[in-house]
Amino acid sequence: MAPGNEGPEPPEPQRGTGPDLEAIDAGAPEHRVAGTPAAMAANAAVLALARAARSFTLYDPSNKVVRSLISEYRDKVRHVLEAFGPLELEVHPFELQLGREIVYVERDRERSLAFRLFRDGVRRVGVQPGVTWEELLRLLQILSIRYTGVRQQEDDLVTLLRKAGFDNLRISAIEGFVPEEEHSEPPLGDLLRGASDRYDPPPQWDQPLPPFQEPAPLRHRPVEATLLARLASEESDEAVPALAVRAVAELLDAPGRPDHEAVLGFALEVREFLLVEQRGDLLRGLPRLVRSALAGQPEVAGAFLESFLDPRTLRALVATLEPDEPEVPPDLAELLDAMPGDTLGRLLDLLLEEGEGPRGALVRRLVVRGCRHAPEPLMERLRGAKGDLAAALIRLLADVDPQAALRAAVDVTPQSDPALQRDAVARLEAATFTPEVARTLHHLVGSALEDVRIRALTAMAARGGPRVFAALLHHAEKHAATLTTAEARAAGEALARSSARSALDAFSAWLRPRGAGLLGRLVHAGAPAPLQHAALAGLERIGGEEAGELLALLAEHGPEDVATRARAALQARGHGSGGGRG
Amino acid sequence: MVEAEGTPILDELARAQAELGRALGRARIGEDRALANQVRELGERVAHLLSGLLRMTRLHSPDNRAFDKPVGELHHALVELHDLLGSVHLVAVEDQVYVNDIRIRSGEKATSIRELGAELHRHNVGGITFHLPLEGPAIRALIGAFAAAAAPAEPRNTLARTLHAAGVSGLELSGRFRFRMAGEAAQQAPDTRDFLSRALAATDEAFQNLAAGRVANPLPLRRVVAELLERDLASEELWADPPGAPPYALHQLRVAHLSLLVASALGLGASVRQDLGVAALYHDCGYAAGGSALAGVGVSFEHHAGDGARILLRQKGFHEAKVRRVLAVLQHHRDAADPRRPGLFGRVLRVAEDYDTLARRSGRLSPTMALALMLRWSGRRYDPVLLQLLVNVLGAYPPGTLLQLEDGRVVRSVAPARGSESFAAPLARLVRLADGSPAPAGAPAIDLGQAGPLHVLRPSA
Repeated sequence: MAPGNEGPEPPEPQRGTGPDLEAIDAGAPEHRVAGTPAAMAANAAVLALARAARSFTLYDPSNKVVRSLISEYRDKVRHVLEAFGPLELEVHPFELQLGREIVYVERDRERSLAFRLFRDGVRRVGVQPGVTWEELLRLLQILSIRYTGVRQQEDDLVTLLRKAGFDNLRISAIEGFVPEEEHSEPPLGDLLRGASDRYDPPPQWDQPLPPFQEPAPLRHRPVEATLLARLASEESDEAVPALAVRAVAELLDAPGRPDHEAVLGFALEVREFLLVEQRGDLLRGLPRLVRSALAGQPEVAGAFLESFLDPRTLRALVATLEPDEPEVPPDLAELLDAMPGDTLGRLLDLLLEEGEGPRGALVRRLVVRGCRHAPEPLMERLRGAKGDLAAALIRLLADVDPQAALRAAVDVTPQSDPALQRDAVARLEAATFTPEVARTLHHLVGSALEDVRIRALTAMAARGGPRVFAALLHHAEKHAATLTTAEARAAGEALARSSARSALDAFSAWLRPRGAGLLGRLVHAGAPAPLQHAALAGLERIGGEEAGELLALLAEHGPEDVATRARAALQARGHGSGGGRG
Repeated sequence: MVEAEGTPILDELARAQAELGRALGRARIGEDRALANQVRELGERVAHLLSGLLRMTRLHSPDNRAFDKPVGELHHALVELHDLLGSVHLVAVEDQVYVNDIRIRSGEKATSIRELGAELHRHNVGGITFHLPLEGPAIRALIGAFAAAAAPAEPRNTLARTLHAAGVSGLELSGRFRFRMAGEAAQQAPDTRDFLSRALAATDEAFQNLAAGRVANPLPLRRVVAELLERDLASEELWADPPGAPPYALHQLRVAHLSLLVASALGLGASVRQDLGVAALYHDCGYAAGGSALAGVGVSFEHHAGDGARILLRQKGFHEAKVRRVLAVLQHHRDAADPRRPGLFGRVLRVAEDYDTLARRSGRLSPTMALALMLRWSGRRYDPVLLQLLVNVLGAYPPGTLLQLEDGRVVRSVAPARGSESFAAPLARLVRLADGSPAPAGAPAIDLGQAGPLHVLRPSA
């Protein structure tokens, strides 16, 4: 018999068990010890090992803290070996001892390297100067696995240490228990065992073997080392991912009573392994072979695929692709196409996570591809969306179904979100002009955002022509007092573009209102500056004498900035620098 | 410390981080924590309840009503544990208690654990194996017997007789144990018989558990393999067939033994050899699918590989070793030249298994003839390199071969060849004298290198 993954439990810590202990501050964890130079160097090495092994309970292995701790571990061990030769440590419940000196003390069971080793049955650790970095790394790996408390069903410390096949590390550990011979008694047989259910294979199991004919002469033939190495490589660690996938394939195809639940459960375990190993190629191929093997049972395959491509797996699969991957790899495309359920939703989540990250464009392509035949999931997601998310979704939708995107843009315009309004106006600029588009643009003309208002005015005029003139005029006049210069100019241009004739009339009315006297003094006196800017911009677009006259009026009576610009416009028309008309 | 010359330090650390990350990642996905915790909790309950019951006997007789509740709880814990693990092995060694190799954490009940060990040791008992979950009356009888004074002579056997007289069955009492340090086994050749006995028991128990529908628990078998690998695979003692060994378990062990010989010749690493050994100990487990807890219908030769692989899948959590043994079990009868070429483990097992079946189990062929017949199928049924490695390590007269010497004496080869020089001259023991009479016990080994022409005899000779 052999004890399990833990050796005997160490006794409770005892304070003051020796003079060296008293010299150590019992309150501080993992004390640095004083003593001979060899003890101090050993202390540094052991502390570095303990910290590195423990670091994985707090940090991801790729963390720079871990990197620094591994480096320290290597350097400290190298130093103690180079300076003082072999490091032979005795393991006690809470201390490690080098000769007569204690070189490590930690009483906290969770933290203590000594406790872990002692509990696992380790009683001595010897490190030879010839120890390789690979061996030290393997030791750290084993201790780290023990610290993180995982994988205890297949291995224990002793089997792990033996697997490691150390040449320059000697570890003396309790590996089991054996009968104590000094207390032996004569065997009694199965006196108490009684009858219990046994099952034995059929007596001639595996027999008869297929026939064998002639014997061949037996000779010793040496086998070339290269041939041996080639065979051994079939079971190398690097080969295991492919073996795992092969195992799934063969299990699905194995004769006998099928047990899809067990096999597909195993396939999900293999998925986890492939994720750890970052084998995207095999990860993409695995569901294909399951589908192929279960072609006659689509519901079973479907349920598996649904479980298989969870958000984590999807993220990992995408991460295996190059950011600038020109095409979606065929096996991934096939996988995505075959997936039942909300794969598109998961891709959308991924896209939102990725944002403008390196794989954003790639994921976007995957989403567009995923909903090219059925944009409903996108629409569904859009319903509750706001802000940047809604804008991103509309942009995606536009790639799949521009009309749907337009409708969505129209639907979301009541929201005051800048991104949405900007996206909507851009979409409306390119859309066929319909009453719905007109209404939406009209709505956006009243946006709180100046740039949106300007673009909406421009778009209205460009697409709506004379039909929208009244609305544009209404807008300009209604907001005459508050229009910014840029917006006023946009309004004027829009009016001119919508209907030059009507615009002239409107500008005239603004600049020469009835009853204002022959010279239209009210231009100077009363027409709001925004309207003068609007008129100026509109008149710049309109040719003809009537427009010229109005420009001249502005050049003479308008505020300085308007007058200057009006004179420039007149100059461009060849009317000279202006001056009064009468 | 030796370092590759010129290796950039930064790369080395980055590689180390990546390697550690992978190792931990692999380890994390290999856990069936729910099962592990359940077993540990139930094991702890059994140990603490047993200890508590023994303590109660200082105040009450075991038939007192005060025992009703804890006895009932112990029975239920044993039932649950039996459903999960089969036989429940409780071992007290020094001041520790283990239930099915899981150390019982004493926590605040350290005294309870120590007392349990002391109570058992008083009767020279180191462990109790519950093959069946004891019912209430049997538990009371057990408690009562342990509470009584220990017999001055053979206390354990006396206790066993007392329990037998009380009608208690379904358990075994073991002697006291001590811890064994790693490496100790290799230095102590005399306990090979004990090792074989433990290895066979573990293998048989693994099969019985699978047949009863329980989840595969490879750790005990891995320990067997680890210990086997520490021994000299060519030693005479390891090749002796223990009398009364369960045929199935013996076959699994022999196939493991042969596979590991090939693996050593092949130069497989320690970790892969362990995995191969465990796969070999499980290789015919598909026949367990005929157990009443599963189909209850005998498994055919054609289906046993697939059934075996599926049975092994009941062990949850990923492990590279599980992948290897599942594939090996699935492929172990497939021809090397099959279009779906079996993996290395499958091919090794095929060679080892056919050899054991032909040479030992069939009882019709000498080991030499078995090997020679297989050799004709090299490249078709068998991987030619692996078969040649088996030939190289077993020699012209593999262990068990009966040979007649020129002077009429009959000897049996008892160990494999140790190299090309001893290929046709293995260690042998005298079986019969020249006049046909049995060889005297303890006759010295014979060096066949000096024995002149040899004639291979059929097993019945």
